[in-house]
Amino acid sequence: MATFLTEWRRRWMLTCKEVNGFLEAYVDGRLDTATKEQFERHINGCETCRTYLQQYRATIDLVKEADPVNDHPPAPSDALVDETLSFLRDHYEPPTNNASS
Amino acid sequence: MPNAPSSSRVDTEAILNGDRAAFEAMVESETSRLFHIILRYVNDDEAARSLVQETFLQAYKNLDSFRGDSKLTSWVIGIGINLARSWLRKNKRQQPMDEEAMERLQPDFRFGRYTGSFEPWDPEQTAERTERKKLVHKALDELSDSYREVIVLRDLEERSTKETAELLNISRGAVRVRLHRARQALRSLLNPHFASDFS
Repeated sequence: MATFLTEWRRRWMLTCKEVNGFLEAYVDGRLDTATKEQFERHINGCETCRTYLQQYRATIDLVKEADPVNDHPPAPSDALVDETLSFLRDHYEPPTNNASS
Repeated sequence: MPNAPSSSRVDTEAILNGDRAAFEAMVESETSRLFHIILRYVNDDEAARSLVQETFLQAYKNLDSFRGDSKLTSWVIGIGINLARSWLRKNKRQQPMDEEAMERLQPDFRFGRYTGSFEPWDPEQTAERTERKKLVHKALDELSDSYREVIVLRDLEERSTKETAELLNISRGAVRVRLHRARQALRSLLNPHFASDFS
């Protein structure tokens, strides 16, 4: 009976700690169907875990919102390429083999 | 904004044979991507521009040491990451937290349940966008390099766990663990600013 209950619990119930351990995989969409069902069943019935998941997701969204690249044009910066090539041409050492230029 | 690999203009064989034009073609195709990664590390426009140039110069000078066990572009990005790390160590104003401090920012459990309770967040109501960004950057600055860089590569660069593991030369499991701990630490640091006040 005890073994049956343990197995039943393992299949159907996750603790908050176990749910926490699955957060990264859940957000990444990597949980298998059965585990995802267990995870969501727990989340639906546990306000603490639901709120924690909301904060965890909000943290990721806030990090994305604060991305320094958002303040820059997404297209390649021709000026930076030119600056970099010019910098390199000033610092290249004489070619040691069949360099083309 | 994901940065999908685009190595179509990278002729690795020609570059390794000393073809400078091929190297410069790689510079043209990879500069933007490299700039974004480095900018995400250092959050300083001028420093990022300068580090991009230094990265390509170091790559060019050290092509002999490329062993071919990753893509050439990944190897170049690795050089950029190392330079960005060095820059951060020299220029970061606050001391990153140690592992003990990191542990204190992880949630506590007793009998499988959280010991604390959580209030829902409402970031848009609790802080202006500029303020939110400032708070996030301050929190990110508190993380040590090993945690900060998985956030940069996974959450900002949106690189896969596999790519991140290869770039940082760690296992995929280590990437996942670090990412989870880093997000939880950030959550703890940001919580006082974004928890809704229903009182």
